Amino acid sequence: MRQETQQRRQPSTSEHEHAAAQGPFARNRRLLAAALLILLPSAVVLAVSVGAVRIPPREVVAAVVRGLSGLVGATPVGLPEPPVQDAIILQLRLPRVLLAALCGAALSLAGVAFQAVFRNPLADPYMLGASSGAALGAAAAVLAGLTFGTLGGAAVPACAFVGALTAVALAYGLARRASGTSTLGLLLAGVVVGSWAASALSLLIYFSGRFLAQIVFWLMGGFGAATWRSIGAALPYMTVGGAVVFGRARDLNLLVMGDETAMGLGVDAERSRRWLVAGASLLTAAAVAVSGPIGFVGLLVPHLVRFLVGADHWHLLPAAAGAGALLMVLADTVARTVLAPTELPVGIVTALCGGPFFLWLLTRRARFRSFGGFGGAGGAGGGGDAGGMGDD
Amino acid sequence: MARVAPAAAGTPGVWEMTRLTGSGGGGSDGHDGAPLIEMRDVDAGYGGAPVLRRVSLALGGGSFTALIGPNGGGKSTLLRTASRMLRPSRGTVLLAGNDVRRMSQSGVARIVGFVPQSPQTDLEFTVEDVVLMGRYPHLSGMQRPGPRDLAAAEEAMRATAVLDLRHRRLAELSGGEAQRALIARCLAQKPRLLLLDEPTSHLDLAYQVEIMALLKRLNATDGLSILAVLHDLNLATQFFSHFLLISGGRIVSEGGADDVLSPGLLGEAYGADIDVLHDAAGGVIRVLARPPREPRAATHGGDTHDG
Repeated sequence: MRQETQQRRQPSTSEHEHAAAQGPFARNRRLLAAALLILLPSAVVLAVSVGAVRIPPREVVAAVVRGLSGLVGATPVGLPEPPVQDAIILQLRLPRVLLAALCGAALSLAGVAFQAVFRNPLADPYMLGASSGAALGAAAAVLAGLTFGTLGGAAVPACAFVGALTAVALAYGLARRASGTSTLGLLLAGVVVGSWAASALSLLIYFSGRFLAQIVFWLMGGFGAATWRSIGAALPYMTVGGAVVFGRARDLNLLVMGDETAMGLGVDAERSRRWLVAGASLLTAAAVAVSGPIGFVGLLVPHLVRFLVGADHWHLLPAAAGAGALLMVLADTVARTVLAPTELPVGIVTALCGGPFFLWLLTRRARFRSFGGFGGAGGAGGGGDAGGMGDD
Repeated sequence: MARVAPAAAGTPGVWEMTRLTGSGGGGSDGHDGAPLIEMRDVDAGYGGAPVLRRVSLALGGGSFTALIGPNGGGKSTLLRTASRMLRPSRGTVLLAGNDVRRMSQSGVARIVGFVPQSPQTDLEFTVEDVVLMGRYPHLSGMQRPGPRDLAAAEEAMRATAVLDLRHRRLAELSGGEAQRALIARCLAQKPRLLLLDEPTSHLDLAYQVEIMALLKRLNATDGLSILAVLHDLNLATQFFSHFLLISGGRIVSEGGADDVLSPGLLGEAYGADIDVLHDAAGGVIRVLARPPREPRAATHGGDTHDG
């Protein structure tokens, strides 16, 4: 009987589309999507064009087109250009800029996922000790005599990657044994594992001797060592992690509202959380392995984007990925140009600019505090791990 | 001061047959004639000693039942077990004749809607976002809500009078508005049974009555079965005529007001001196607890899981 009533009352489709297009965030969503579609490619081209040798944006585009057509074996189009300039563009700057974009997107996606899974506005990608674990792995690799050149530069990132995933797995395993992966237990286990790895790292640094500079350099985070190879190494993991997170956008909506809500609406909260933690950790580990720990992006971008497009993860996730990529490209460009020829670690730029901006966002509207108020869980973890490792 | 009043008329039968006609909406309708929800000899808990012990009950379609009892008595646990959030350690839970162990979580969600006790509401979701979540159990993995889902959401928002608030953010609503939005989400879910865990606990008097009247209306007009945990026995007597009293993990009594709301049963369940008064004018029963002469003995299991 109820079914029939609904059929009768059901208004026309166009009316629904109209209704769905309204709401406080609808306009922002369209604006942000348009802005990102324009700004992100522009920022990439601009970032490639600035540097010690200034290259006009038009030639950047031309070089990319030549590179792409060379890749597919087509005849190069356009005028012949000095191969040196193409080499600068295609072998040095472009991979660096693209890697920055990828890491920015990955860290932001992971941040969105962790904040929802832990129902904690202070959660960031390094919540479960990924950055400390990665740093420990990288430091161990350096001390073991592997340099940034070993295995074509792949050895240290590989160790960092393993370190990051080990730390997360350890935290997850501990929490599971102790409390059956309640979010609070998971959070505490992450803090413990992160602190432990940080102490172990300090110990290694204390005895690192001539390797000290190398380790500290890695800890500061940056894209100076980026090559196509690093993109090739990180991209598969980021793709898998991103697919898992995007595929569970709906679960994220429900998990934010609590396990009972999620289960009541047909989601196995525990299983979903396991998948999301795995996916987000893969994103984080891949990013931290190739760039070192870069703080603040994964914490700030989710808040910024949620403020603009609302909490529906269907919109939040792609917006966060785009905004994270854009911000990281800009931060890296600033890092390598503002004091040229000296290059700043990008983590310093993100923290220096991100901190005040975050505060501004906090004070701007009381509504920003929403998605807060999760009892006492918030204070425990969060920024400490990431910031400590990345920005010291 | 009369001790016990006669029962309000028209107590719905526990075993009343499901009223639903063969609309085929849910896709997982049970065998005709089976109770909407049935528990057989169920133990359930959170590791350690079970909170529910040998609970058996059956509620038919269209029933309107208040679940009452002391803190830690197992009310919330019973709701969680009924909605498959908690797996029983023994016994069987059947929804429309189907064993929940053989159902998916979304399959359960298409039959049972659950309004949690104190859900997170300070969120950047709009009311419409939240109500559309009720359609998730009807959509496959990556499927977005379509016109049909928007229509269901709209109807649910109209029924709970939050249609005008559809574009407001959940965080800026009053307690009563937020609670209505969450009930709307459950209606969009198109369940046949609505479980509510103290739906009025954070609301002021006017909102309490408003929510209760809404539930009553949904039950009367749509035949939606309702099982609500209520702490306020006077509110319960005002709107309900069928009661389940649960204490110490057991169903102590079930039936109309005159069966369940007796000073003896309530006194033993709550461990307090209870007076049950009859208001002659409206035939309404009032339940009063006298201040204890000595501290209440903790005989009702862990308080940690309930309340």
